[in-house]
Amino acid sequence: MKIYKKASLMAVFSILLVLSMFPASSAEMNYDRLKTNTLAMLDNSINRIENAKNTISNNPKIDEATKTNTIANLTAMQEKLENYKTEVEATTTIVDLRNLNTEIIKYLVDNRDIIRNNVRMALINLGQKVADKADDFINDVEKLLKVMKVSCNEQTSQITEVEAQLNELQTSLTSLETAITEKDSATIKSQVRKISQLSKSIYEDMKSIEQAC
Amino acid sequence: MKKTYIIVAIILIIIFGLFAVYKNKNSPGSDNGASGKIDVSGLDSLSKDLNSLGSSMDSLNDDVELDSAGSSSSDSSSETPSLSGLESSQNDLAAYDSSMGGLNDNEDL
Repeated sequence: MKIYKKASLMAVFSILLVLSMFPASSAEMNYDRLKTNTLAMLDNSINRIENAKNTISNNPKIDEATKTNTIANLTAMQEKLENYKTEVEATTTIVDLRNLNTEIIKYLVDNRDIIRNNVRMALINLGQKVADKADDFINDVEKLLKVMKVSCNEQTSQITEVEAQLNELQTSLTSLETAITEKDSATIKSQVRKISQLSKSIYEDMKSIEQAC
Repeated sequence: MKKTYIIVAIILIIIFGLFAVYKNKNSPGSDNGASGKIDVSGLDSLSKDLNSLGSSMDSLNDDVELDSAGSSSSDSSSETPSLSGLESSQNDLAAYDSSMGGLNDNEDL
């Protein structure tokens, strides 16, 4: 009987011991999971910034000043996130980690447009270059058309066709300039595409007029 | 009587003199000389020269000039932009278009 009592008491103590260990183990698991998730979130943002930096710096058409400016903005953000990573690694309690996690999430939310804004800055830079180039192109075509009207006056219908395309190009250029002012990157892209296609078509027609002359 | 003849002769000389002066003044081409004839062949030649000059000017446009912005892609030895310059500009525009493809401003952190 005594043996049964002892065994029962030992069993109860064992159960209590095991139960007493659960809260600590659960808190530790939460800490580890939160730490892993926080670090993964930071790594994800750091990688996205890195990709944006690479895209901008590898683009040969963006001028150096814009590249320097955008990459400096993105690098500053990246460094801040790297510092957060070190702070996360240095935490020892779930409370500290939760507080830090909240701070990091707020920082990311407040700065979530950093990639968008800097890529947009690069797009605007390219859009402005296209606008300048298209303006030169229009002027050159106008000058050539003046000469062709005299020297190739038998090609009147084709010249008229080019003039119509040139008007369309001028309209696209105006839309592009408006989009640049309004920082409307979708329209910048679509008008640049249209300008590229029109300039190609105009060049082909001009070449054909020249050959027919 | 002799005096009368002399006076008549003087009057006739004056009348013929005045007539000759009047005729000379009112004759066409009087400025060109005493002959009074016009040399239209000279005018004809001048007219032809002017027409020829006018035709040759039609193809000359003095408002066609090289602008500094366009000169980078144009033949700088020519006063009008070249088609190859146009091709180069068109290629640049296409390159800008494709360079924008990788830039997406719809990404958040």
